[in-house]
Amino acid sequence: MIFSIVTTLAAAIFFYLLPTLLGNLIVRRLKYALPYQFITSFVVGSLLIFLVALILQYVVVSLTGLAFHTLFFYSIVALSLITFGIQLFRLPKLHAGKEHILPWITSFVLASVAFAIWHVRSPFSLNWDIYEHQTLVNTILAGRFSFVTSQISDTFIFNGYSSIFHLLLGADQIVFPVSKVLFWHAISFIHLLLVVLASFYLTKEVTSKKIVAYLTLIISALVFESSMAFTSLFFLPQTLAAVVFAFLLAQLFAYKRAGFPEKKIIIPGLIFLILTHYVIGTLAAVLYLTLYIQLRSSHKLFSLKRLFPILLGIAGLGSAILIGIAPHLPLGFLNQGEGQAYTQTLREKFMMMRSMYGYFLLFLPLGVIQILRNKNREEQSVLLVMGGLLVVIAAQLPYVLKFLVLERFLLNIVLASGIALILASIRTPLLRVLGIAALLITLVITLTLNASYWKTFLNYQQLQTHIAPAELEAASFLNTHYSAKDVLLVSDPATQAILEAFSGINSPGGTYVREDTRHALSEIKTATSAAEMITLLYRINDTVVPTQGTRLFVLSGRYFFWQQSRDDEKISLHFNIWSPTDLTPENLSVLQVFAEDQNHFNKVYSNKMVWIFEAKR
Amino acid sequence: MTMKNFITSLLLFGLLALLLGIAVLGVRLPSDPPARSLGIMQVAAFPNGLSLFQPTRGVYYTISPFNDYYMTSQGYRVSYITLDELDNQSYTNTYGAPLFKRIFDSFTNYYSQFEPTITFISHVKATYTATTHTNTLIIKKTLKTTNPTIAKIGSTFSYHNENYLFDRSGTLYDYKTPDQIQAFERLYAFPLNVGDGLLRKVVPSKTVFIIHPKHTGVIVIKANPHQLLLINRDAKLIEVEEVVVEGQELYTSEFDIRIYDSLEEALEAV
Repeated sequence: MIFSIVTTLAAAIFFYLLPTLLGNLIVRRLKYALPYQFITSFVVGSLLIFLVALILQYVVVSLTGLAFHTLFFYSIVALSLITFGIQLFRLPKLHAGKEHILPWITSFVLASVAFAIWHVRSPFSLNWDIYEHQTLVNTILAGRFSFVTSQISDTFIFNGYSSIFHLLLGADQIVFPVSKVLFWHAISFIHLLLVVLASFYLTKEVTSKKIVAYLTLIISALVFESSMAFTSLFFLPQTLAAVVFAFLLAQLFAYKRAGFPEKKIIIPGLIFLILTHYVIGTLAAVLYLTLYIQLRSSHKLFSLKRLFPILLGIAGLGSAILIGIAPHLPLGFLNQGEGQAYTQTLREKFMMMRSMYGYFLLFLPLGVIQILRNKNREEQSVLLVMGGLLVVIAAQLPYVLKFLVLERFLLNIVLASGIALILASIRTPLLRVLGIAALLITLVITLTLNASYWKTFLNYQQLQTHIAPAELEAASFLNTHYSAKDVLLVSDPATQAILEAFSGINSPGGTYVREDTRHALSEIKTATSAAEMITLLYRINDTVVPTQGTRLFVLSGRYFFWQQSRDDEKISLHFNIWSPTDLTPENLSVLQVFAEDQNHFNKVYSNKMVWIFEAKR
Repeated sequence: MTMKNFITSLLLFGLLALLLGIAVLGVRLPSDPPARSLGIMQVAAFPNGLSLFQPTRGVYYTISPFNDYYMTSQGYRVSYITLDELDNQSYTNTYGAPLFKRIFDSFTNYYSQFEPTITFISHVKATYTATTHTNTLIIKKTLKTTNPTIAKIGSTFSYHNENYLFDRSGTLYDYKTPDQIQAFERLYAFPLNVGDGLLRKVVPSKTVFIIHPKHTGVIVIKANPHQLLLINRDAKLIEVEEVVVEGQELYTSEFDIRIYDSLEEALEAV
């Protein structure tokens, strides 16, 4: 148990440490010192590991026919030994001066508080997407790798990113044996900590004011965008891209003070952002380049002092036009499936904003006033980008709420500036401390109510959760007894997603089951004979790696609940049985019939939530 | 620090506190009332009383002043909210608290520190409070009245047609078809005996087991030694009745509801 905890924590740290130390071997050879060198090291190291994997897959495997996972394992071990070996002899110079101690401790404490609040009565990760990501990692570690995620597993039907995120996770899990439940907790906490630190350092570089930086740190830790963006508490490709973006921005603003390096230094960062998430990463790269050009240029054209009023006017007019016409734009072609679910009206967005912030955005106008008063070029640049992005987010366009994952880093700076405007004017130290305490209490209440609202439908026993121990037990059984066999696990989308992620047993699409498979699954309910059920079960297949292997028919509480749902719900990619569901007496009566029909079904496992049958052809 | 500076600081602090207060008031609250978890079930206050339910299953068991009653010394059964009061809407309840209270309740509920409670005021004032201890729910009721002739008070727990109601010996207290009985016995390996068909019947063991085919788990209602446990088939109510001393202004009554994951566990525990 302790060994498992230690190796799992090591794996989570390794995700950041190996690329950073590996990249550092290259970055430190530069003739000049970079501010925030670690972020450049991380992106360079990550790209290098990804490049090695691509060479292994597309060159070595093609030429030699050797197994990818074996080659990858030895490559990662070799890279680790070389990297750690060299770095141990020549430890990278730590720039952790005294000025870093307080923000690090504050970040750690507040991140712990936020993490604890979010996980009250929720011992398992509440990030539903981890199941598909873990499934992709499992598949890579089983030897199937590609640049394109949808070619690795049919769990991915949309290629929103390359496989770099999953490959880096695979590099950890191939070296260290991990408890998957704990791993996602550990890496999510480290991510949260980095989000908070990134916010602090970005604000510090932009405003050069400690008070504003600390206020941003507090807001960043305790505000969670619980819809679409999920920046701080969920570890996802888009949130990894966002935190890297924030550190790269901090570095960019620091260049202004330390001197801009060669232009090519920014390229790895931009490539990493785009590979990590094609939409969010590309937007991040565009924003980065915009600010890079604006900050680097000494041309009068780029002087905000002159341009600011004009830009503000254009932005205001553009905003009104965009928000006004967006609902009428012919974007129906984008609004199919996922897009439709991800397009919200202004009112819906306002309600989401209330869940995340309450009316905390009241401080936004104060922040704008403060920044305009300061006439600091960096702050005004941030304000302009923040405002522009906010308008896009407010517009009724598909997916744009996801941009909040980047926007929050800029928005929080403006909010913190607004609070600082009042706090800095309070001359009595005691009242100032009380003001900060009031801010902390407000944000703790807001986060609590946000979590309470978000978890409303996740009640199971005393917990609020997506998964239950009984499901993990079933996954463990599957892993032990079927990981070496050619089988396909068939159940409702939620059960498939959970069991596939934690057992490594393949399913037809996990949560993202294709429409024809959903129809076949649905027809099982109305099948008039066991033979018809068997036919339907064997008609269902993995679309990336088809198999003729045995179908493991998993009848869970969720499965029965899903079967009772409306047809349009069963077809929808966004409908799931989100919380654990025990089997009812009515379900158990049906299961007894299955168990007694040994000509067609062989019961191999049961607990209070999950029964597993081998379907006999 | 001059007085002027201090007053300015105080005003600014007041402004900050005001803005922060407004910020909290804007946070969205769950539309459902705060519910306390109790094993596989939850308990919450609704406009008709306290209800025990399983989230998403859509079956509610209610402890309600619309069903609760008292018996007068003349032998009349009077509901806490009479038909006239219902028709004239001449009763009130504390459901739908002010925003501050709802924020406080949601906050405390998130940290499992919330106890569902609701008060109804009609010709009597009845307050219901649910206290939970692991798998036990204690329903506490206080009844304030000016009627000097109350001889008995009755608490009720509604059930549904689909429910199997039986005691430890397997005696059924509501009608079930032979097929339903057979299916139950096959599933639980627990024999059931058909009862005598009375519409209102005393449960001698003071303990009744309740199972719903679409619900997981088992509900067990246990009356205290001084109480009478009755099944009212006609009204689909389980009634917990107790004799009280006449002429008091305030009566209190309690009964226990226990929740178990399985019948096996329930039979072992009770």
